[in-house]
Amino acid sequence: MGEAKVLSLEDIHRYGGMHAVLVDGEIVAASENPAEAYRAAVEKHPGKKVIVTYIPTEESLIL
Amino acid sequence: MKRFCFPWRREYSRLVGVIYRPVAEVLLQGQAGEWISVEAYVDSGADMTIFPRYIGEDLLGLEVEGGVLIRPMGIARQTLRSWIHEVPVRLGDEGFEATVAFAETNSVPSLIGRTGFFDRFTVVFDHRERETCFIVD
Repeated sequence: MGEAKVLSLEDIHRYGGMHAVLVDGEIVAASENPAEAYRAAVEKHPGKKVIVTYIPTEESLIL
Repeated sequence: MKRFCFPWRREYSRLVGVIYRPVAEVLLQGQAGEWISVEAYVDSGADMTIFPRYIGEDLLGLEVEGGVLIRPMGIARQTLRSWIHEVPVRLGDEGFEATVAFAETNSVPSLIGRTGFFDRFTVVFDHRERETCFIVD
């Protein structure tokens, strides 16, 4: 089993409802459209894992 | 047999408190040949795989509205215009052409659904281990 990933309550309060760019699991940018931030992160962090993902709000239920 | 397993993500819900949600990393190939990594919810209740508009338009370089228009309906009967495309994807080291939809807005999470994804694998949601495994012969 891999280690569970964690979205902290602070991250959810701060970025909930946005799409985020993660570099090695850490949020480096978040907005409604983080495409530019994703490209910048790929360029800035060669060899690191750069991912886009959605940060749900605390009120969200994924149905 | 190959297994690609993904740990669940620890999140918070005002309704249920700490909640572990199944996510998986999927790579989508853009028009220029580059691979884009997306961490998406694995949603056994979703008929199709869907991504927000910016992933198709701004990261993959697709003309999103050039796909086949669909109007999927959510459980509250709300509709969301979306367009279907065939996109090269990778899940683990398994590569294939997937039928996916891109929504008209960015106000949706990325969801890996059954058609085009689940039907290529045996998908196991292991609540005890808090991981999802995609198994292929």
